[in-house]
Amino acid sequence: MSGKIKYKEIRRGIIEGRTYIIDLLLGKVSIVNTLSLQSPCLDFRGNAVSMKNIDAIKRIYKYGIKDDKVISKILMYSTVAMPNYFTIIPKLVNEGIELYKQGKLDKILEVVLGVKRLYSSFPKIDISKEDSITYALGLVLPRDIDFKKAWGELSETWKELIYYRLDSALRLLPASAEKIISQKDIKPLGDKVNIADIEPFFVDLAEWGKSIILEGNNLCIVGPLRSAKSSLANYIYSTVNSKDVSLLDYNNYDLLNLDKKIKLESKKYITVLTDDIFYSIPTECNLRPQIHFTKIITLYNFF
Amino acid sequence: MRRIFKAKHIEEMLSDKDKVFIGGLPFSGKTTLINKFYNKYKNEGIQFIELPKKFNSVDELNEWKNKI
Repeated sequence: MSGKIKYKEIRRGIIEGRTYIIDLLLGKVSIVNTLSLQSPCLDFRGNAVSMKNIDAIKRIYKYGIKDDKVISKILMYSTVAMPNYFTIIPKLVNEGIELYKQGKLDKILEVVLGVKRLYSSFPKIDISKEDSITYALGLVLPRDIDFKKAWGELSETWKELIYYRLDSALRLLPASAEKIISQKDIKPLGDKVNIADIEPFFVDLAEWGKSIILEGNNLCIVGPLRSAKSSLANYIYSTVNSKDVSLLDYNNYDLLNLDKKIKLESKKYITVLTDDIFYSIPTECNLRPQIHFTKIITLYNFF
Repeated sequence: MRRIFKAKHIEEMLSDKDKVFIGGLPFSGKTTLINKFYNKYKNEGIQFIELPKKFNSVDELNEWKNKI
């Protein structure tokens, strides 16, 4: 590769950067003057590099780790999911493997699953100024942890991902969150994390589904017969772990009844539907397929 | 929404655009992917620019805005 080139004008080129930096430089977002948690900017768009779950699983296998439970935990350590995007971070897969070998993975996972909430469900609280940052971070950290100790044990990679999320969600000058966090004391106030028992293949999808639900949406999983829709729905359900969500696994063709069921539903719901049922639903049901399984089926061929 | 990028997609994008932006989260494999592109396609005329990760001031950010 030609490396960094000093240039005056780009004629033809590849410009690499973090999504928020690209958005700032292209003028798609701008920096705010007053910090606030009231309207965080959580969009994620443009060309984004992603790593597939299956590639991460292959990498973990290469290190001789074949226990499904361990693989899933390494994947949980390294998956980042937002309502409109998810990926596995390659560098975190290596770290997860190393932490497992050192016997430290379970403990650090309790902190990591907490801070990941900054991505899956950014706190929506009416607070402004510099407190926004410390409060947002405090709200996702499980309240029984000692902040200094936990922060000291967290990898630089994870810290960087936290700074990045705070900078971009609160539209700060990149590197601001890092400066503020290093000067302030953080008080963990968040709920304890729940480590769900998920098959490795479903970890990233389950986390993605969870963040769609936590964003306040209903989730509709559509796909052909026997494509593991119900398994995924159950994994998402157990990952969300909330009484405010119900599971609507619908496997008959009584559409009027389905319409009624959906309208009666007072909670957020996860619906599971086969393609043919989904496409014959009256539009007023207002179901949107967020997870369409035909795409996922093609991934199965890699096994 | 989510698409898995491969080196050949960069090639495709460059065929109808002069500037291609490759973004993502920190440590998501951006440089690895771009390296693959350069190794595979040996495109001499294509510049590579890596954007800074941090800025010390708004002026510094604006300078970069003008460059892009």
